[in-house]
Amino acid sequence: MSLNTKCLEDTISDLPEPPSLPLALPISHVSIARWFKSIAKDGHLEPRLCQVFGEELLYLFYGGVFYRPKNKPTQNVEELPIAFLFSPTLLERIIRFYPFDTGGMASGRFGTWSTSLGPLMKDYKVNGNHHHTIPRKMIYHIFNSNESYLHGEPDPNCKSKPYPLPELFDFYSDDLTSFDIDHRQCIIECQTNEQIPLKNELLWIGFPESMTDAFINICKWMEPVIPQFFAYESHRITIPSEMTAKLEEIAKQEVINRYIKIP
Amino acid sequence: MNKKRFKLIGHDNPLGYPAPVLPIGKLDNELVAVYATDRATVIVLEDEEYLFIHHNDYLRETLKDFDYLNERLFAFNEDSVISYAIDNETDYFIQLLQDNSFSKENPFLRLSLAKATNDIHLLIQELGTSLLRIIKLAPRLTETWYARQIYTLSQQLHPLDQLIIPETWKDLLECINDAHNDTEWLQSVEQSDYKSETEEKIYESRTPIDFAIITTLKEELEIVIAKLPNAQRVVSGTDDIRVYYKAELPIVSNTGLSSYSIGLVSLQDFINDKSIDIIGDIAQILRTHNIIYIGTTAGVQRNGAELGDVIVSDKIISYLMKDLKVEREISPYTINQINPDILVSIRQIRDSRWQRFIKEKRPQKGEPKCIIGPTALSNTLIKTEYDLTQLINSYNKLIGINIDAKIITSLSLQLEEKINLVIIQGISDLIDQYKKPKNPSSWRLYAADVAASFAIEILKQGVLFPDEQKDVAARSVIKSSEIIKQEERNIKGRSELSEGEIDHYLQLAKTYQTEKRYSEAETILRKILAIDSYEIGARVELSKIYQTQKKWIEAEDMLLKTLEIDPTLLQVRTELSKIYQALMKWREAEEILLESLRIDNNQLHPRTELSKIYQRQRRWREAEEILLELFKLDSNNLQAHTELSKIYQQQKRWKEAENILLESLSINNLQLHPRTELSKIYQHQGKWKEAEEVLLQELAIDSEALHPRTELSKIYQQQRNWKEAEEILLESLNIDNQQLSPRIELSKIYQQQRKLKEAEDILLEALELDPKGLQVRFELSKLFSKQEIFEKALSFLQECIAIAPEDINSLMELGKIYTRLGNFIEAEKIFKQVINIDFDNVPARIELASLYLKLKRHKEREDVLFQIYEINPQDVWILIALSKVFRRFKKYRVALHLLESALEIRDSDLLLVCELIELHSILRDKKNVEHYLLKGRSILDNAPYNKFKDRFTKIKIEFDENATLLNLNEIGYAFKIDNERYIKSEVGNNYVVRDNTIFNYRVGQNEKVFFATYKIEEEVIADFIEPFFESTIHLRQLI
Repeated sequence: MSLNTKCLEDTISDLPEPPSLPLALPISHVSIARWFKSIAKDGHLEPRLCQVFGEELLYLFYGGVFYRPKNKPTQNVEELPIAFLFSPTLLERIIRFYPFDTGGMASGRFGTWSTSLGPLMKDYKVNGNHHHTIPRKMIYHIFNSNESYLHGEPDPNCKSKPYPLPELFDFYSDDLTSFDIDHRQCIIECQTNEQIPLKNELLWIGFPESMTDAFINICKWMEPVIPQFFAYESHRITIPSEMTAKLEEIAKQEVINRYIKIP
Repeated sequence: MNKKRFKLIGHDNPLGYPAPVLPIGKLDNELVAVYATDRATVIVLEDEEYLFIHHNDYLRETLKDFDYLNERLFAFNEDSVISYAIDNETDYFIQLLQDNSFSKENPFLRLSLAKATNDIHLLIQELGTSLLRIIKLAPRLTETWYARQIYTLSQQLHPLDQLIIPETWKDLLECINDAHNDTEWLQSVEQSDYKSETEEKIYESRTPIDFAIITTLKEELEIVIAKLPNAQRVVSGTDDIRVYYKAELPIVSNTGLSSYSIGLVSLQDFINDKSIDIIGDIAQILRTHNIIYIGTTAGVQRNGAELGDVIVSDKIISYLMKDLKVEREISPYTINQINPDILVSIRQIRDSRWQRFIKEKRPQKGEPKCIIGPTALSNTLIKTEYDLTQLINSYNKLIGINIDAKIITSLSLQLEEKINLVIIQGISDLIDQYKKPKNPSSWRLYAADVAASFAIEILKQGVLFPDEQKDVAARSVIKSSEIIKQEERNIKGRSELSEGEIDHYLQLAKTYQTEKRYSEAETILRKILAIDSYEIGARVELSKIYQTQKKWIEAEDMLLKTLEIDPTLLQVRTELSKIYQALMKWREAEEILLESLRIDNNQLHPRTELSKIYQRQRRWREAEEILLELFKLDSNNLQAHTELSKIYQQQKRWKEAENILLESLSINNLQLHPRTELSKIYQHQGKWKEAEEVLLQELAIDSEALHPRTELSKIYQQQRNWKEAEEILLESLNIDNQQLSPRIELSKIYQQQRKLKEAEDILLEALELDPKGLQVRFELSKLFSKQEIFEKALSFLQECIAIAPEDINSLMELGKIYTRLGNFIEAEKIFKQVINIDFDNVPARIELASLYLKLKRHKEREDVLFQIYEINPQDVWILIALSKVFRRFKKYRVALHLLESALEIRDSDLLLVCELIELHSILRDKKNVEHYLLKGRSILDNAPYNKFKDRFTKIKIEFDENATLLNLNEIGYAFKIDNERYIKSEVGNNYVVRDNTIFNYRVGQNEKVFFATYKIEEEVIADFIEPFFESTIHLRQLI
């Protein structure tokens, strides 16, 4: 049980506001190919019951396409990914943010950190308040800049800041590669309990080429806008995590970089 | 090592059927999924409750030998799963795609499979089908989708194959549909329902087609149709033809994708036709002069024909049994009048690729082969051995005999009409084998399939071209490596050359040169000269090798001796001129070319070379005139296009320079040099993306090309991307380590990064490679000059001038150093020397004018300025340059007058308008600023430069009395307040501008300001990137 009276939200709120915050970044959602047709048919993403929080939630990640390989929403084998990248305007629909992948934390993926931080998960919750400045403040106070966030480099000044920033810094700085965790240990998770419409929000999508028909349906929802897209090879079933990593890279090159290559 | 035991129990299917699926099985009792990596990656499934499709007993039995390490699965539905070997994946996918009904409802799966085959024919075919789907279902997506395809394919395909893919979707459509009226066809695409693809369509229009394929029987026709993508039945709606089919067959050539429109007819539909000229009738109705007859025939075994072989007729012999005689013997060149090389081309098809497309089962073991030879046509059966013997004796190379009276008569008529006719037949019977095959009808279907497969393949390979242009394209598709192999075979094992083989050797030597195997080329050429010391070709080639190796004296000597053999040799003079150019002996180079033109005034090459010489001497007008003269002789001359563009570039006539290069590429889209030049133009205009794109295209055409790498490095340097700039140059040096330019560029990169030691080292390395060279010394002098080590700089410059006493660059640099050292007398002497060498030289005059200013020799200074004006008062470039000179001396009114004169000559030049706005801004003349802003906008209304348009229109000019204006060139202006640079937004807010960096501002309502600034030489450019917003309301407006 936490002996600290403050939580991340309070700490961030108490810290002095900078003259300008890092730009708001797009947020992502990774679904699976099996559901692509139904998403395209519905024109929106639907929250699903989350076993960690016991409520219907939709998980997104801030600033890039990040994969959650061991937190599968179905009992199927690892599946080919569909990656959605949404406009930062969607941040207004986010009810809470966490500075890590809560699913990974709950399922013990982060080794001893799962044991030490897992029970204190609520200390790290930051309410979204339907405002886009929240994750930007988190980025500023934890990472200092969007670039550092995307490189997975927390701001060393965190060490001298109030709880729980020093702990977060230690978590981010720990080498968790033995648990098959790469820079994605430094991610901001976004949760919403609302449907997310594709229209007006979708910036980019990655999907298997043979499912282009479903993408065409999405384009119909999006009219008159055409989202950016990447259709990956579908003549064989490759390892989904590798494909997601590729989508992460392409989304970064094609969309995210536009937001971060700005001093 | 023991292989683990794998038992396949099911599959997972994330993509829907039909599709590749994920094998699920037990591996040593663990539940595993086998993902397709290069071979296979097995992932253990921890949860036994994973959901997947469990195979039924039948499937388990069928796939019990599934080899998870070497095989993959493809499922058509839950119960229909096929395994195939990973090594045969390509063949398996090709086989799937050959079936037009496979996954017809999902062309994107077909496209994805086609991409995996790397088979360019299939890829284009499926790309076309998918494109149609996109056009139909999401027309707005077409452009984006196709661009994405092109990008993806550019990463995947061999550069030569990339060239075949049309650049735009419209090009692909045109290629697919070039026999149709585009508008009409597009309308038909838009109106058609994909579900009714199999339904009959009525085509009222009678656009000509490329080929008519004619078969005797309907079943033969069906076999052909099954091999063509999207063949559609056509009902003409009139009485002149019963029924036929139309298809578009994508074909390849080295100039890109093309397609044949094909009409398909079975003579069985004309069974009641009373015309004696059925084929002629069909040709007339389908409006074609090109006919391929595909059928079956009886072969002559004694002349090599076997059951199931395909035979192509090179001669047709018509005969009458009653009075056997050869009536007509037609040479293949007469038969194929449009393309006399048809049979030669067919002979070149040595691979057995076409055999893969045969679908009918072969009745007996064996493989079909193709034979080319004479065939006979008869109206009567050969009934006796005597008749046969008599026939074969009459024409002893006969390989096949066909019997169809109507065809004989009609074909005879076609030959008289000079229609292009190719006859391809499969052998279903043997005329000289009296023991008949057990099942002749099965051989007939197989033979028809063999003939059809072969015919379609030669069409796909672009062997049969219906017009001259395509023919030329096809014939030029020979790779140098193939030539080498061929020629090496020709001389293999021979230590001595015979005279008759000189051509072979010469060809080989040339090919070695293109492969940069100079010593081998030299050996061959010396062998040739040992046999025939007068062999001119060998002498010229040898001289070229010496030129490449910078052995100028040997090269010159070789050519001069050749001229002694024959003084009228024009090519030798041109080569000599190149040597003189390399040695900067401009007068000698010019004289020898002018002499060459006196011998033959219709030559092209000397004119191009003369133009180069004039360019080096900055004699732009003469350089341009000689090329325009050349264009009168040959308007399609590619090199002249490139050279003319260079002249325009030198004069900053960017648009003209760009247009002439685009025209050149429209003549031949495979050229590299125009692309390099285009990139330079874009670089000068700050269009970095375009510049990079065009160079990447060049690398796609030739992955080993060096120039584009150097240019790409320049672009990266401009973007201050030093790492990439360095990497691409090192890559270039890896390809050819003897180059100078990459080293010179590397030195610049190191200088930019203040790595002066590295910069010097790399130049010294270059100097070792080219110890007598000018360029490296010049760069070294600049390096030392920059570090103010003037002694060394002067030493290198003096060496430069010793090598080339009239080199203007070296002299100018020398003059500038003297100026910096305060040695004005020497500086003046040098600048005057430059003017003596190049009377029209403006930069030297500008330096001189600056010098006179320092020396307060005002009269002389103004004289020089007016000299510049007098050189050419109508030349826009000089007017602008002079206006800058006046501006530098703060004579703004004169500068304005000059610019206004320039604008009178070129009234829609936006850069001029920008210059005028700047000048009026400096003069605080609001009225004229507004006037020229309006003019600029009216020009932009009709201009295609969207990016430029953004730059121009987003910035509003306003004044602040305390501001010092800075030149931001095209975008308008910026100004200094309190030592900071600001740019003013549309609503009057000031934003800081930083040089050489990127910045953005989140602004208020309706504001759109977002710039990158960078320097190009002396100019600061601000580049509009995209609007950006703080408020989420504004973010939404972006979408």
